Amino acid sequence: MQSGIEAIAALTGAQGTAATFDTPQGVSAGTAAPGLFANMLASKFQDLNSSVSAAEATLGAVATGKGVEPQDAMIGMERARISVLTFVQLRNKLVESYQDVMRMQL
Amino acid sequence: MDYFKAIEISAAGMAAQQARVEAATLNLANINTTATRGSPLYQPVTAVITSAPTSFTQVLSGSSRPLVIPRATLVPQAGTTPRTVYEPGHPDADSAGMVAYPGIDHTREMMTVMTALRAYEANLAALQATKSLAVRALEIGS
Amino acid sequence: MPTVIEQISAAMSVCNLQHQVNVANIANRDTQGYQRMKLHFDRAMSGAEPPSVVTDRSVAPVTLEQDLVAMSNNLLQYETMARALGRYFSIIAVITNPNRG
Repeated sequence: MQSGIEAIAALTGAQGTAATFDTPQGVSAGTAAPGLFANMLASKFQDLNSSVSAAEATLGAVATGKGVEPQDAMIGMERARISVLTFVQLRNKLVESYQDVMRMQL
Repeated sequence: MDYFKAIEISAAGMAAQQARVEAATLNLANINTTATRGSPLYQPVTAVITSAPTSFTQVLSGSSRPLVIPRATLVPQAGTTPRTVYEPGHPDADSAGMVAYPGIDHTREMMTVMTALRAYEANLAALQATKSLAVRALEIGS
Repeated sequence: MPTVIEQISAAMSVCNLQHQVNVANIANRDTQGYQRMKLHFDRAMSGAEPPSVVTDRSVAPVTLEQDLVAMSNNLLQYETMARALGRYFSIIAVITNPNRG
């Protein structure tokens, strides 16, 4: 389950380790052309979506009594929540830098 | 972890200890009960606690972790002899003037009540511990 | 190399298993023919393998108080790790989202 941190690390080209939250990367967006922003967001949204649905799956497994430890379900939910937060930050930063780029042209 | 199984075991433990208290109090209540004409003398009872597997499916699947649920049954106490007292005026006295009372050891029954009560409370504490584990796991994020 | 989160989750799972054992031992204290259970940790790779539930073959009698103390300690360990996990997550959340935690 890829977290938002990993997604951003991949985005910035940083060398990410196997650990998801152990090496948190700062949120930074490259100054790419405007057309790529939408693609970036779309692909990272896929990762976010999969992390959230994975969390929901563990939650369902706990409810139906399949062998998922309860703390793993809550950890999954927490990861999904942080992925959402990170994604929102990413979006904000991308929008910000896009607006900076747009302003520069004037 | 299956919290419901753990709660089931604790609840069964409480019920089993309760049966022990029932047996002891029943015996204590009948400590001076004589055998009136026709009915037999009161036979002291004791609670025998055995363990059963949690479910047939678990037995069939050969689960390597035998979670055991205690179950109590009341059975007559073995090896008790009635206590005879010389009371010639008693309506239930025999030809020699002896009255038979159930062979109940008062001290032993009181000890049973106390230990069963402590064990009952211990099972209750275990049940509450299971509950707080479950709740604590849910509170991880917040 | 498991992450910190994975290690804490594994330790909490061990606590859950230990709690199951404690509950069964306490409930079956007066059960005829019942053999006490305990967790057996694989010494070869401690931490890598989850412990297994085995019958406790030690002859030393264990009092009810000892059982209750063991259960209480296990609970405390679980509580500690759950709280540590929560704090860890809130740190991550602050790092990724400096404005709102």
